[in-house]
Amino acid sequence: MAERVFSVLGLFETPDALLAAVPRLKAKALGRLEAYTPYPVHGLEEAMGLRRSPLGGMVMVMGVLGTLTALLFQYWMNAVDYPLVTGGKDPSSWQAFVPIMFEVTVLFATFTAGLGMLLLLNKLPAFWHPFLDSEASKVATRDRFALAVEAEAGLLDAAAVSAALKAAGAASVETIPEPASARLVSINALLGLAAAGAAACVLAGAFMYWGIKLFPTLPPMSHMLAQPRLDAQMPSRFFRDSRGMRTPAEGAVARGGLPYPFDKDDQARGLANPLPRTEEVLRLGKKVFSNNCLICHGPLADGNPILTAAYGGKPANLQSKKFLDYPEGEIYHTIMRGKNAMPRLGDGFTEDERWAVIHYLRALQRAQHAKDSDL
Amino acid sequence: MRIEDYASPEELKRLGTVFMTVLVGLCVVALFEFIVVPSLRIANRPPSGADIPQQGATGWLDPTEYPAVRGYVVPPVDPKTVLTASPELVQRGQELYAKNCVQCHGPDGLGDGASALTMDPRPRNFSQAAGWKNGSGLVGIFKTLAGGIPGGGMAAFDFIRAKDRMALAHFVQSKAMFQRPPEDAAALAALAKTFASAGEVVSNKIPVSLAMKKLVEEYSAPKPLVFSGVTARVVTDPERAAVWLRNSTAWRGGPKALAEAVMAQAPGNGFAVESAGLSPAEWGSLFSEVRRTF
Repeated sequence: MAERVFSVLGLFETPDALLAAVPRLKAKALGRLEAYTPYPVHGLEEAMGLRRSPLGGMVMVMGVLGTLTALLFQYWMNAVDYPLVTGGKDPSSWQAFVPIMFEVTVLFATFTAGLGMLLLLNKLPAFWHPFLDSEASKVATRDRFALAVEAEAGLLDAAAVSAALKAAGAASVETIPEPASARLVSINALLGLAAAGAAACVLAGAFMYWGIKLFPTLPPMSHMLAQPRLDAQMPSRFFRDSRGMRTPAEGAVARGGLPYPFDKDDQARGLANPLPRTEEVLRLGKKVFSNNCLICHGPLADGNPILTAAYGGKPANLQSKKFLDYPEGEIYHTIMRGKNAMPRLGDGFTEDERWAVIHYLRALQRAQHAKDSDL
Repeated sequence: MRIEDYASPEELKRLGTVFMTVLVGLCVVALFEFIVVPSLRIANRPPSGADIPQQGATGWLDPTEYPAVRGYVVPPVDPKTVLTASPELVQRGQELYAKNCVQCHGPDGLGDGASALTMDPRPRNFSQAAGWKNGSGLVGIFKTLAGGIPGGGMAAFDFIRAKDRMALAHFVQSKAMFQRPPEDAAALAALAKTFASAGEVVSNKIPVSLAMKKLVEEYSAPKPLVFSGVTARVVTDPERAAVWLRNSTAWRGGPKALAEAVMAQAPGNGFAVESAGLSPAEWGSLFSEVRRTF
């Protein structure tokens, strides 16, 4: 069986000779024309009758798609899935999305331009191409200009094409046979490659997993607790008195608040509760009590908490008669200034929380000293 | 560049099998993830509006949700069993002392417990004769235990039964290292009489949530403040100010008392901090305005 011909190549000395030959070969319509030149030759596209590249349109479409993707992505995440207010703005304010939208537009557009040109339009890489085995390829990348007539549907009259090329001014003509096999890689090699990739992933995952398990505190993956930062009660090496917690400047007052003026509890007796005794207030009081007072005074404020068993502490029993008719102002004073072994806690709470917890304390006292009608 | 150029039919078949297996696997996963599991979850979801039991809501493990208990009266104590010290009483007193008193008064009653350092005035030293606000006699100690020292650090221990309090008093007396003055016979007799005559009342107990409900029910919002003149200028939160004016008794003495009481709590009481700049005459008119409502 005669060797099938892939293409016939004619080599030309100058680009002008190539340009002159193209229309003559084209007129004969012997096969598909392909030109190989060491540099872009002006006028060759028009002579070859190549269509305008669709790359611009593809880049446009993908760029717009990128913009929309980024917009929807951020909108869904910031305004729908996990609404997060930053800087006091509406979660769906689009102005904040613009940088990412720009970035993703550029990403989509550049990848479309680069990969679309190489893979889709130019069908590169094509190492299987028979031209790479030809003699002409050695000079067509330097100083010769090759024009190939390729077989269409496997049919090519090699002799007629050679004659036509010679007539058109080709310096030499080369016939390139159809390659015996177009295969570059076997399917087994592809499957092996995929298996190797999967094995590499598993290996890397296992490595990271056991690495973190065995060396959990290796820098930079040290404990989150260990941070070069000054926590509460930690000594500072910067300040001369080595106190990490700085007291505010003398006379500093929190916005909207006045300093608590009293030092003796009988001065505070006149303070009165400004909060209405509603369900919300009692609920707030319960929360504050449970989070702050319960650990010492016990869940029923009877001075019988967990602490007593553990440390032998004896906090006040707020259900005793002394506290049942204790003025609310003095309870407030105790929160603000502490009493006996109780530390001053007032700075940790808002005004409302302090008065709400007093309301809740009254509810606890009522629960332990209920009227007959309550039963 | 056709697929046939790369793979033989058998190889294509194998490739197809691999693809189909992966595809079917994905379909099975997708079926479970998107259809089976969500529908099971929806099917097992409790009906909306139903009372979903939560810890604490129904009383388990929540110490504030105990059943309501009616109060009762502890039978009177026979005075003879408690008025004179006995080894059993002192022993009982020592047990109670370790639980309730050691923290401040110290293991030997020297007023040097762990909390004593921070206290002013310091806890009583039972070995010394000095101090003793209610006297070092049995009656005085019993009174201190029952009512505490108002204005001082001593808390009231009335939640300890009278008999046990007497045991504590005997134990405290046993720590004395001084010549105690003789007991006041008349006061002792009066104490004996109260022991014999009346028992102690133990209060009713209701769950805290019920107590909260009762308190909210019994509460009525105060009359709203009528705005006119100075009131409109200095009141920033009328509702808060109304509640505060009704709860507070300190301001009722006159314009000067009102000024002091308002400024002690502004702005927490609904009055503007700027009200500090009011003149005495303006305080006077403010006083008459709020006096009309409260």
